[in-house]
Amino acid sequence: MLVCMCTSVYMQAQQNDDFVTAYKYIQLNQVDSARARIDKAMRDSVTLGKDPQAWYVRGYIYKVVYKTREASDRNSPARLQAVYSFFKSISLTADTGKQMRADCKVNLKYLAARFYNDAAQALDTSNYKNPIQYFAQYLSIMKKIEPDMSTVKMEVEFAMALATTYTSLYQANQKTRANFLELAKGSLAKALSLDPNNVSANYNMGILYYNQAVYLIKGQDYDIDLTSLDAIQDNQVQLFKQSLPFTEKAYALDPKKEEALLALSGIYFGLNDFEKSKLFQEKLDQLKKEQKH
Amino acid sequence: MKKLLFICLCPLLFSAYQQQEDAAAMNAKKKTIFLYSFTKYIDWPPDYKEGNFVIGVFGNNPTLVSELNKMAATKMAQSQKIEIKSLNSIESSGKYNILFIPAESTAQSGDAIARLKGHGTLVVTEEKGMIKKGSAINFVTIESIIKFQLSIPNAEKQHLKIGRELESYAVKTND
Repeated sequence: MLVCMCTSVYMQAQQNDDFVTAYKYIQLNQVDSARARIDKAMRDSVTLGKDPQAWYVRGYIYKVVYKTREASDRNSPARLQAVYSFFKSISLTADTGKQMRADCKVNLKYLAARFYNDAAQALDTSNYKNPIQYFAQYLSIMKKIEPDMSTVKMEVEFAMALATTYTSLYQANQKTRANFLELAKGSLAKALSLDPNNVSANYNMGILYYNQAVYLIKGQDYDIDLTSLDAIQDNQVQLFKQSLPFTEKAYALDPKKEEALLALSGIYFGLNDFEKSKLFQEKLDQLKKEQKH
Repeated sequence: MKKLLFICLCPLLFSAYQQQEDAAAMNAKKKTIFLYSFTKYIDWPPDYKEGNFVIGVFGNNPTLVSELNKMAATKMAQSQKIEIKSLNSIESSGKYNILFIPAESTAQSGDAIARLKGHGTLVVTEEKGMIKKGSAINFVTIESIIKFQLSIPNAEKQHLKIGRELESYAVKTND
């Protein structure tokens, strides 16, 4: 990719030795020396600071630094510098520099993909905050370089993965981690705002409310007074009712989804509507029979 | 430039509880809380305050029996140890502090209530019309919430004294 820069670099060479040296170092794969020289050149020369090609070379050098020195560092400063440099190059590129712009975008897409993959790989119950930032960086880059590209699919997938992580954190200690349940609901609500007909997001939201209702009574001591039991039952009914529209929608969107039928049977059982509970259980049994055949 | 592949984010379907089984366990827990509460608000005849405090469950209801056993392992009825019995028939010679007849076993319970008449047994049911058949407490579902009807006359026929507080929790119905 650096080949296209030769003419320009030759022109710069007559004016800035550090810049040309940095260019030579990176071609020789002497990464650290290239980085030191490009930074010196950019610092010392006002002209280079306004040159999109110079910023492109800087971005390229930092990208190589990232790949060779900091690839395993998800908070790599070199990656951020590379992103900054490529965007700076684009901002300085006149309309005539279409190739330069395209080259910057290719590099930025690569770096954005690395942010996305870091978000996907790092997301687990012990680390859920950083992946949110990595994903935000992925989105930020992609929305700038491809404003017409839809990121909905990626955003929905990430929101759902995040909801799964929050749910795991909540389930590990439901008494002390109720905040994670709300975060899980928030993530699923985001997924549903982007993709209201997402079967899994609807089902998962329904199950969150269902499980919350069940846990309300499961976690109680036998000693609670009857007034409290009444209040708990009242809350449960509200939660089962909140679960219902999401689970019904998941079933409407995918009538072959066994889990949705099982959930509906459970919800109606929880609402003490045993007839409807039985009806969905029978539908489930029927579906299972059909699928066997 | 080599194309970088995106790592697949595959959010799992949440591992829910075993839905219906759990909903059944949830109802069993509620009924257990009710039954245990009754031990606090009702005064049994002197000979029923000796030995174990026996809660009999008529018919095959393993979910409820299991929940009651969990409760019995940690709680006492005043100073009495709680014992749970799963019953397939009601002997008039049997000594039960509470007899619970679940809705699904009502038809099979026959004249169980009549057999225990005057015995000092609190009969708890969960079927419409059971107060008229002699039950002292009958679970009812009102707007999806489990509540209970209470018949003081039926309780008194069993020599049971009902605390005022329990009366205040009961729903008033003509049934």
